[in-house]
Amino acid sequence: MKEYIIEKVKSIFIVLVGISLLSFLLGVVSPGDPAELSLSKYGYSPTPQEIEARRVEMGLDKPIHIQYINWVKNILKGDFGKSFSTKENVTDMIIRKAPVTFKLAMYSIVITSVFGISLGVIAGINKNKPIDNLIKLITNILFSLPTFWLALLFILIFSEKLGILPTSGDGGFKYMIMPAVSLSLITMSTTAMVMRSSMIQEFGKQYYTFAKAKGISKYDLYIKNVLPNAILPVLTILGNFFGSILGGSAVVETIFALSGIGSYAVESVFSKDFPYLQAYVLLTGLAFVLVTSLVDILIIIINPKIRLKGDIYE
Amino acid sequence: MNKILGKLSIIVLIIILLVSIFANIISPYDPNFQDKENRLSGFTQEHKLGTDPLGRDMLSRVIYGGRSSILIGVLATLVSMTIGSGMGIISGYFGGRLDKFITSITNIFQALPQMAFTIAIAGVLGPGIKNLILALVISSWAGFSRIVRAEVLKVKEEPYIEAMVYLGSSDLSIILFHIIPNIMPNIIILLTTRIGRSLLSIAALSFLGLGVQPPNPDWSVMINDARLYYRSYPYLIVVPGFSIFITILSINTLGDYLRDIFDIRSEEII
Repeated sequence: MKEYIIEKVKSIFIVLVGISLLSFLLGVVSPGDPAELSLSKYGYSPTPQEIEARRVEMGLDKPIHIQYINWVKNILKGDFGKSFSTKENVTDMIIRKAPVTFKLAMYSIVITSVFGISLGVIAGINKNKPIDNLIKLITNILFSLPTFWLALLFILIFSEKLGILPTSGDGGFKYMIMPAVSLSLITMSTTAMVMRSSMIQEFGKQYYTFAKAKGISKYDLYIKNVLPNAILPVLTILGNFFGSILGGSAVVETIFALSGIGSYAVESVFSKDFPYLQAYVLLTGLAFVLVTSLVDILIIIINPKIRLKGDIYE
Repeated sequence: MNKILGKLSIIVLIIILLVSIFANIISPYDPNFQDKENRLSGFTQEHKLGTDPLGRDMLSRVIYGGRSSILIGVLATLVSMTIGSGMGIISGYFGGRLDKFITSITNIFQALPQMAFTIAIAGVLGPGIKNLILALVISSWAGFSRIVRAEVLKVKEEPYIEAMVYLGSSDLSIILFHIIPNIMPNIIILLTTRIGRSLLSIAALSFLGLGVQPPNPDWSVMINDARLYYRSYPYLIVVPGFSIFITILSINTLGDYLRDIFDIRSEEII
């Protein structure tokens, strides 16, 4: 156990260093001169002297590895630099925008879990019966739908035709339904598939045959005995999904005009606001690593008997 | 059920491919020709699927619309597969420090949410087909590596492979003639499902303006072009979107069918 935790912490550290390097490299390969971009404003071009002074101020005259170290040092202090386009602190922008994305991700993960797990359980219990095939068909369809297209169809149906849901902006629950549902469909269908096969795997185990032979009620059998075991792999992927939803919200935020971190990431590409883009990649990566590690720990707490396998250095 | 759907999906995919390849023969108009008199015409005799806001023939654009995305998706996935499988094989077969090293790199690349990472790379590299492929490869090769590594580890434990090592076969010949043929079914299924996923990513990127660029007739670009008009003219997004959907659905169904044929139940490959 202790060994496992040490290995785990070590590998998380390596991953964190790795994603910080990748995010840093994004800035290095980005086109244009950062010093010039940081000075340029609408209708104003900085002089060569100004650019040179800014270059020194930003530490761009130093060798690349020193630049990386300084960049990391600043980030550890909570400073992601200034936005090239709004000249605001990137940290402040993220703090302002993150709650919107976080709320969206929470709604999506709830939809993903509730519907994904239920569909998977129903399909698993009714393995190879018509309802199982139907669920398979539905999840296959949902899995193949482009999110942005579905989101636009939702707007056509629920806003234009029926007029029951607002199309854009961030307000209460009503505003979140269409974005969250569009964002959940792929993760939800994957959850259902994994839940189903995880249930079916449990059916092959001894305790299941035994419990079934004892003649306990279906509810006790499936919900009290099978589900707690079958749900563990599902928890792992739900952790994964929460991270990928946080980092995958750009399309939906753009369509529904939600001012989260994702929609601005797309804008930042067009406005060459690379410090923001770097922060976006690093922070979504960080969130991803934190959530998945937490889930790993959670699963060990729930079920310490689980063999600590499938991990990085098995 | 799966058999019928699987065969159906192959037929649909062949049709989509043929239509894309022979687009210039089939399509009634030049996809970029602007019939300025007939903008947003709705379905008419001359324009069976109507025209877009610039008066371009929708049917012709839909016929051309899969070309770039499918080509980019297939190419990017093939490159990702080659790099990822190569890394996975090396890592799983040789083990030891090399394995630790490659696994760490894989973990790093998998720790970044794919969409965020792809947007960032595509954004930094700028538009263009080559850059789009590069962005997709960078953000997706690691998925192959991890799964292939796990499969190699399974095969490596087979007694006959161990026997070959004792008999003095070279690593290269074991990998080429025994490991790769054994894991090929998994790789093919993985390739199929990942092409579907790449197409979804490309579609999203193109819709955001970071992928295939206008005026290129592309399904996602068409949907993006229609953003100001689709509420009054839903046909502008329905047909292109449906084309993307059917293409990806057929690929995923084919993946399921292949899984049945090869009798692989690995749930890793989603």
